[in-house]
Amino acid sequence: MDISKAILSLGQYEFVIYGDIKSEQDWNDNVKFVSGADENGTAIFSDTKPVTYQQVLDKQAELQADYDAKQYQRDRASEYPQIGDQLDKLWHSINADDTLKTQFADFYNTIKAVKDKYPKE
Amino acid sequence: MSTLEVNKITPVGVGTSVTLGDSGDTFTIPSGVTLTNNGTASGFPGLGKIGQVVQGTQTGTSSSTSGSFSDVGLSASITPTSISSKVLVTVTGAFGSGTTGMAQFRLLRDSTEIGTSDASSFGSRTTCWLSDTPNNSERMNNYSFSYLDSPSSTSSLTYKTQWRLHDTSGGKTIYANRTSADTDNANSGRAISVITLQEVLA
Repeated sequence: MDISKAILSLGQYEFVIYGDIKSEQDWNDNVKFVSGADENGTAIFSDTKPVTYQQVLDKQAELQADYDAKQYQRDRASEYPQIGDQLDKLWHSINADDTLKTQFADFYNTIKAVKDKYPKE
Repeated sequence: MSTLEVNKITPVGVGTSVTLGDSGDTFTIPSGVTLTNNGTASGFPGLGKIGQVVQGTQTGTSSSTSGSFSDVGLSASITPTSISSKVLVTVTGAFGSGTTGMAQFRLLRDSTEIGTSDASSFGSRTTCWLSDTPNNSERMNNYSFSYLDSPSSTSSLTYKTQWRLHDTSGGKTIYANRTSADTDNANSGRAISVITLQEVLA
């Protein structure tokens, strides 16, 4: 899990990161929080950090666990038909059932009006 | 064989010239001797050619969530041999975001902005402006720009790039040399950025 996402989850901070952060030493040396800017728009870095390395590691683990738990969503999303195809299947299912035509009349009739306007040759 | 030791050679009259030797003569500059030109020299076949070439690379990554400019991590230094030399700066790099983040780049010689647009606001005064492909965490954009600088200096000069995030709302991050996903596989590789400095003799 990207460390910048973990930091941003802890607060709306502005910071820059150089290289991969794999240790507390990397955190101390290569993560710089922005406290302001000079007249040319150049960042001024703070001498302190508003969050600790351990807080970031904990948040990273939390976000990673949440990401892993939603693997099924990503798997499904990659195999679902296009939204238009899904809606088309839905309309044809309704079209095959008079009760559903009444129950979902607004959706059904809106689509049907377009189909009737441009009939298949 | 005699040796003439003087500190300065001046023409007899103001605005006149000094001639060295006659046709067929040879003047030799021995090894280890430096000939410095702080004025205008013409007729030398080396002028206009490339002198030294220096390259800086950023093989690692960097990222920013800041609306203020900070160093990308790409720089190179060069010491022009003549005050009349120019420096051709060429930058190529890779940028990722994945969260519709837009990055603004600018070029600096030491702490001086060069090659930036003619705008009063520092946010508008940039060299290059990039937007990432929306919501694609596995893509990077390549960018490049070049600028011919006239530094008028024979001191060591450091050229570098800086960047800022255009819109800091919504938890956006901009990345150099990596994608947002950065999953370390063929779908989400990494890249390098390069800055090349060429001294153009003049």
